[in-house]
Amino acid sequence: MTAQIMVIEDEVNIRRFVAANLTVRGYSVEEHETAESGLESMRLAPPDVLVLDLILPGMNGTDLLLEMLMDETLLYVPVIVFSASTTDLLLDRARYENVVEILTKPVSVEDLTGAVSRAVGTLNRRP
Amino acid sequence: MAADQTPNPFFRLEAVLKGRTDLLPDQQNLLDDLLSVVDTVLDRLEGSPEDQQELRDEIASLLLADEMARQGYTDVTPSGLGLLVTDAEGIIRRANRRAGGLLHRRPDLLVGQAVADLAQDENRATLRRLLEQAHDPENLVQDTEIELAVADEDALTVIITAVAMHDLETGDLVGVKWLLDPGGRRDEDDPTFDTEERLRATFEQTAVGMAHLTLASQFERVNQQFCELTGYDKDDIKDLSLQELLHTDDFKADSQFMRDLIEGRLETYTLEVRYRRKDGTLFWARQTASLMHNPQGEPQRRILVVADVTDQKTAEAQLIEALNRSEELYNVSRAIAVSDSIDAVLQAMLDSEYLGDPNRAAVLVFDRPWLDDDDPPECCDVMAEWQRQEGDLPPLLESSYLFEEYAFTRLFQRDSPTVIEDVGSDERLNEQARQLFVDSGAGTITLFPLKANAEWYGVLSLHHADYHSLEEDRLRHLSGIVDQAAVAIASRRLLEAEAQARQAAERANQAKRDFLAVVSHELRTPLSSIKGFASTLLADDVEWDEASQLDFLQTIDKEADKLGGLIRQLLDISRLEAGTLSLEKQPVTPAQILGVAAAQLETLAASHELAIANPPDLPPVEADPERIAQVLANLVSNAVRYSEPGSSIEVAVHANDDYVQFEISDQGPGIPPEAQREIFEPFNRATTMAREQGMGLGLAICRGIIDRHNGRLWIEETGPDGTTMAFSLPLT
Repeated sequence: MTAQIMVIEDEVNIRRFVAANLTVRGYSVEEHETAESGLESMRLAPPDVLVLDLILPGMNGTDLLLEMLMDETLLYVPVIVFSASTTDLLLDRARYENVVEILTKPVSVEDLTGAVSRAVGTLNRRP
Repeated sequence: MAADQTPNPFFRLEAVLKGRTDLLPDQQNLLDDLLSVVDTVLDRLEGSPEDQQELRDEIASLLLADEMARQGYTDVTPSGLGLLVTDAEGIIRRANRRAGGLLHRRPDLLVGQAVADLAQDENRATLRRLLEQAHDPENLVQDTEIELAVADEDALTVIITAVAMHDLETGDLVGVKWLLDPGGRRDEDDPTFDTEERLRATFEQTAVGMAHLTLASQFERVNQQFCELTGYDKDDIKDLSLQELLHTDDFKADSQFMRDLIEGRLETYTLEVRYRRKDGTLFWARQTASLMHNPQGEPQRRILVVADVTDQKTAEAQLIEALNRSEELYNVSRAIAVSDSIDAVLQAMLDSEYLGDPNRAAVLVFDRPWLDDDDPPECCDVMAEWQRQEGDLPPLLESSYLFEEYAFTRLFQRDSPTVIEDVGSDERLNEQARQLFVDSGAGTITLFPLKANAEWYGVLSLHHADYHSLEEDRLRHLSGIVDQAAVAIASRRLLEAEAQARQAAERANQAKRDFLAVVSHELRTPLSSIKGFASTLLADDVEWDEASQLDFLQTIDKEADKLGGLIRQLLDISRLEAGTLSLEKQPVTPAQILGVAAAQLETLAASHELAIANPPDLPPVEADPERIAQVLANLVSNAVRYSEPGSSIEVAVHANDDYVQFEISDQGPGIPPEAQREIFEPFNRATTMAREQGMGLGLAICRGIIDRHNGRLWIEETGPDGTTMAFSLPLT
């Protein structure tokens, strides 16, 4: 079965880069510009993996991570986070146990596809 | 016998002499001799009544002369006056030749007679009364008009003056000096007597002004001194009444006292009154008035003694004024010293009574101290404002408005207050300023410089609704108060500035941390696209079609441009902060600047309705057109970013005497008040906006560029209907 990947990223070109590369490699990709629209959609149908930019207009990435941790249908969705900076203090790994990988921009195709395939690979081991 | 009932003067003399303990030996011997003589005399008094009387008279008149000398009464009688000297009993001891002439008696034959015997009936009673009253030390001098009996002739009317002589130690009456003044009656028996001469003696030779008035206050006679005081001739004044010479208020007071005088409630009164000179000027005079009566005790005329006390009065008034002012200065200073805010300082100042009912006041503080006359501060803030009536006047001073449009800086003076007495017509105000003030209800405006620590840092403006003239000394007094307030305000500001500096330092630290995060994020975003698509093209596990490849390459190209733009911005801001931004200034008209910018503005605002008003005949400014175009582009792109697509954006430009002013208006939701000051700081963005992007350097760079042109950039207007940003450039 094709893995469902949701991408939440406000920068259109980065979103296009993610979507194009994951689609061409056989994933099913759903794109969102804001955390609000992504959250609304995943509550109807949770994705297998979420690729999330932390800095977003309106609700930011960390707020969304917390919302997901408080929702038992979203609690186990693995999240790959895009961060602009390695010194990004927004993210406390211990607090956000749903984050499986942090990718620091700029991100190459190998970084992206590697992280996604690892995340998808863990899915079967989940309860 | 009456003489036995009075203290014997010899016993008194003995008592006095024996009581002396401070005499030298020789004087003591002399005294002993004298005492023995007195003893002998006293023994002789035991003799025949005739002997006693003779001795008594002799010694009494000697003693009287002695007492008179002691009291300073020399035997100098004004020419033409009769003189009688009596003892305390009223027995005449001496009479001068003139007295004899008046009474048709030999002077030596008058001696020994009772003074009361010189008159008959009620006049006799009057003399007795004068003698009786002379015992009272209060009645040293009494005078009245009286009829005296004259041998083989009708009665003689004189003004008789009784001068009481009292022993200085005991206060007892020792004698009375009687002056007989026949007044206007010319005595044909005495060719030396002359009324005019007499008048000059008593009237003219005094140092004060004197006047005789009828009971209806008409002038009868005045002396030369009175003429000199009032500026009238003696002839002029006879047609006048006192009412015409006195200040109206003072005449009322004088009339009141005059009634008391006539009705006998007062014998004399002294008033300080204002006299009007012939030339209309006023002077302060001390005026003493008393009445002259006829023998029947009816008032005949009033005598005024008038002394000029203008100098004294003026000095007094100045002293009182000075005292009032220093008291107020003290009270206001105290209130200022304990004020805990700039508003309270302003309020304390406004409590000064010398301000004269202002209708609004404001403390304006420059953005930096005005040190060099040629280098005025760029703007000033209203630190405290007060107005008499709440809310019914339009807001007057918006911090940004003071300089270009209204040209206020020309009015401010470093070392003295500026008084604009009539704002409606004052040449120093330009048309806009005049209109602003008239609309705001001001008639007169006074601007006091605020200085502390030798730095001129602001202005206190004081508005009066009506035309209001402040006198020089009042202005000085107010300047004193304002100076105190200026120091208080400065120290308040220092405390606030210190607190602000601390916060600013904390903010700067935070800003540095934020800077790295923001720059990192902003630079990484285009970099991420470039890296992402470049690696996408390079990946060997996927073969992309040509359209995709082209798309990716174009994206890389665009994102590389964006990255280049961001790096330029960073370079600009760092050069501006280091002061190394290079400008290629040249004389250029606003139309030329807009020409340079137009194409870029059209592109930026493609999603909006852009209108550029470009009047061709505006004067040139000294500017780098590329940089000004950069500023315009930045302001327009902000307008585009913060307003709905399709709404209109307007670019306008106009000029006044000193400046060209560009304005960029949008129909966006306005800049929140809390953000208005911060948006010009680097890395700040109006955070309520949904589509945030960029580093927030745009306005900081714009402001830096305009600063380098000696112009200013500010928010002209912002609200729910839109925002107008404005910048000014000085004319060449």
